[in-house]
Amino acid sequence: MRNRLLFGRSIETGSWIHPIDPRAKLTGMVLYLAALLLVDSWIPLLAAAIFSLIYMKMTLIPLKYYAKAAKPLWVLMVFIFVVQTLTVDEGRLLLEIGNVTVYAGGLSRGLISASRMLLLVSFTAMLTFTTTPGLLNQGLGGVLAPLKKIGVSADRLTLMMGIALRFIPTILDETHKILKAQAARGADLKELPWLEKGKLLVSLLVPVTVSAFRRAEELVLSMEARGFIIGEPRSEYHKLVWSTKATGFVLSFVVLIAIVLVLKLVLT
Amino acid sequence: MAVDFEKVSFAYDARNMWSHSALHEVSLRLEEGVFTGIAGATGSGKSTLLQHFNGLLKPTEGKVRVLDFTLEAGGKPLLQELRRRVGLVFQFPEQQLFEDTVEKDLMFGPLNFGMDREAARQSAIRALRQVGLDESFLPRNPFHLSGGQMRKVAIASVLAMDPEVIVLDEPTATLDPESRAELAELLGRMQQEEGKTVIVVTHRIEEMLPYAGTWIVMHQGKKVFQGSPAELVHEAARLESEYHLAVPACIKVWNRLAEQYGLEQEEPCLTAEQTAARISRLLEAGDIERKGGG
Repeated sequence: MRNRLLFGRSIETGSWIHPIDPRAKLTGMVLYLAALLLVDSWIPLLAAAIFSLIYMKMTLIPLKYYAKAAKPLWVLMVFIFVVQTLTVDEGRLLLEIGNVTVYAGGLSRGLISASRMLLLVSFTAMLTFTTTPGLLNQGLGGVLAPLKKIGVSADRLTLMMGIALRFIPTILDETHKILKAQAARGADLKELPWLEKGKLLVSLLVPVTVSAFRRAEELVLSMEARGFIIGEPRSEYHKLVWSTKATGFVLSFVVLIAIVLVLKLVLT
Repeated sequence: MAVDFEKVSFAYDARNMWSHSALHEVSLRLEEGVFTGIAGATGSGKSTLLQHFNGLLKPTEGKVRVLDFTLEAGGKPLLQELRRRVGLVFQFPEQQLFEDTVEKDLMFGPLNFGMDREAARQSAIRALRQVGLDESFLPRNPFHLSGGQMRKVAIASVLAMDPEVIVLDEPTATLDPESRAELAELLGRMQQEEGKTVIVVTHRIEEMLPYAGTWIVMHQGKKVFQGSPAELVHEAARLESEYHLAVPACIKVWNRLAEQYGLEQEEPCLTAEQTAARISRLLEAGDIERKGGG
């Protein structure tokens, strides 16, 4: 269970992308999303894919980790592919079985949409791979700070995010431990039939919830004991520094959007 | 032979970037019916070692034999029977209670191992008595018990399966001194009176010293010592300086005493009472000598 979980786990490889200001990374990811939304044909898609691969390589993280990050969403990708393929009626008719028709244009659209999704999910994994959760959270606070003007408290949001991120591995570890204890008492999740598996998982909820509440209470007390008041001005342990590399990083995504737009105009 | 490790190595997440090894070529043999203490600093691989005893973890290299089961990398033995015969009590076992009555929690193991309800209930009662609680606890909610009582119930829930080998990971941690002594004594009784093989990981060597016949010291995933309590006492200074073993005061006192009076060949006295009696005899002997000499 824990072994397969890649979400929120940073991988330190010492590449030049790791120390970039998390605000730049977040901005970059939003621009990347915008670029992908503009992609609707094969050549811009190819450009975006090459761009993504270069960046993934530069993080020095093996590509298979990006692939693993996208894996949990394969159902969604297949769904997007199937829906697009069956609903778009353009180009040559390729296949007709009863009411179901597949056109060349539909197939191509389906493939493009699914690939876009794959690119989006695997590429944005770079954000969590190259940034520790704490820094990421701080970056998010920085990006959301302007929202204060319209009455949204970025502090509250980032605190919530930070605590949630911090406790995902803890609670998973705890669940893992309880599962092991159950296995030691003859209820091995791996070897049980499905119905029993379900029952066992429900019974897990009791100790996991009990301990989550206990932890929450301890956390509140320890934060208050150290004078934490939400919304008060606080100093930061890590000062975020916007380097020229960060500017370059963001600009590269602007360039990507430009390339996609130019290719689109040239091709139509 | 209850437990036999042959060059066992184990790495967590063996196939990816977070891989870190927790055991390096550990070889050890423990006879049946022996009380063994396992000591070592935090992160020395003690808990990882324990999880090999009932097949929760399988070695990445090497071979583990427990009772008549063999565990190897890649092998898939039938673990259910092994787990009935080897009861494993994790650290802070009270956090794993989940049923709404003590009775149900105690019966969980026996029922999983195929006992019928009546037999399981009998085992539950027997296990509860073993840990010094009585039947009035059966209908109670485990979450409303005190910390010490919860710990005892959790340990009883493993004893209820009537295992031949009982393995415990720091069973006395965070308990009050009285409960700690009770628990150590209970484990001693299980071994002496019922012939169980007891294996205890502990940070407080002194608690298990009166009961353990064999000691193992772990350091950074390697076994660095295995021997009798007397051997442990002899090598205490080395184990402390080389492997940061937390050597208890009683061993240090004895070693000072032995050094001063040349008692290295004697069986060490490791309880306060024994040591006091030995010192008093030493003093008496000294008096006689002085009188004789004077």
